[in-house]
Amino acid sequence: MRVGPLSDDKIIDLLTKYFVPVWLSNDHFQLAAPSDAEQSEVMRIYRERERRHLATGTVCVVVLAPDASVAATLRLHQAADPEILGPFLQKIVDDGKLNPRSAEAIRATTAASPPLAKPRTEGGMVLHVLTRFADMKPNRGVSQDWLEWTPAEWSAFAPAKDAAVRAVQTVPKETAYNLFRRLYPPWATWDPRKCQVVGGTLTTAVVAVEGGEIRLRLEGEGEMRVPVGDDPVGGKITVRLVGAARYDTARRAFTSFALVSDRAEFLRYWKGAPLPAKMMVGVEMEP
Amino acid sequence: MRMRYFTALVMLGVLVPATRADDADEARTLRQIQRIKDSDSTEWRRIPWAASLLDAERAAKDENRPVFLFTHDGNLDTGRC
Repeated sequence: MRVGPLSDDKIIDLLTKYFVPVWLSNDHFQLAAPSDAEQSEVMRIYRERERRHLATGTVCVVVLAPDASVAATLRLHQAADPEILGPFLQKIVDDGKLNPRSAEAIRATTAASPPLAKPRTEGGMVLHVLTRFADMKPNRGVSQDWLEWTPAEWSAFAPAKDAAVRAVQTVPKETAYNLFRRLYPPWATWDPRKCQVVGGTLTTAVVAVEGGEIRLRLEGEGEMRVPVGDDPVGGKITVRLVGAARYDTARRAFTSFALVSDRAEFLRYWKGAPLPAKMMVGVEMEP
Repeated sequence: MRMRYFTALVMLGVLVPATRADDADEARTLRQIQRIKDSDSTEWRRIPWAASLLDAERAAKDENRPVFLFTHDGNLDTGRC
């Protein structure tokens, strides 16, 4: 939906002008838990849909009347087609003889952009993880995760002040695995807790020392299993990473840390036949 | 003579000064990350999404217009959906 109909100019125009649009995550993934009042309202809408034999899937488009009663629903497989969703919305606009919203009304209800990820621990290092399928087809887009390495975690592989060129350090296993768990594609399973790391390593090697700065080459590889359908380990991800980092010896802190996939693949099976898909992975330290 | 031999090796790419190689690695890494970012659709962000269902319902009542509610699993904002 996100990179399909919700990125379609006509749908965007209809939703912007005539509706009050809102999206709701059933599992609040990466989000704060909703208030009790909001949760009760979600349940009321769900029960009304059920009572009236309307579409009750968890992934669904629901149009509420101004009094919040359910006016219409559209299942995902229909809503995902702009040629169905567009006329569906247009009919509601025409039947209701709706006038466009004022710019002031739109401004008053539009949510602020989500805040930038900040470390939860003093001196924590926040990494922004991006993944996508390498075919660059827009149907799944890019997925994003964030993780934080505490000062205790990142200082365990920070270079010594007097580190020499070619000095190599291995990132502690659990610290590296915490990153590897997020290296999965924008696939139906999105929870890193369900990603099992089979094995992997991440190393840093000093390539230059100058002016109070140590520059490092990063290399890593990992193998992970993720759920596919009912199989909790039905998907296999293999990834090889390369990158670079900078470490300020006076501040004793990383000033940059970036990794990309040199090779990444998501492998699953359909009726016994392998379905490999190339992936792209990017990791960067948040400023 | 020794210097000329070193320069020749650098020109042939056999020896690359550490900082130059490092610059190239870092630049390539950052370019690739930017390429991934740029490949995502941000069009859906043009939609003036309300902050919550209750906010949307309040506005709909005030303006006498419908709410478009999209329920899903995961997180639309981060593409994990």
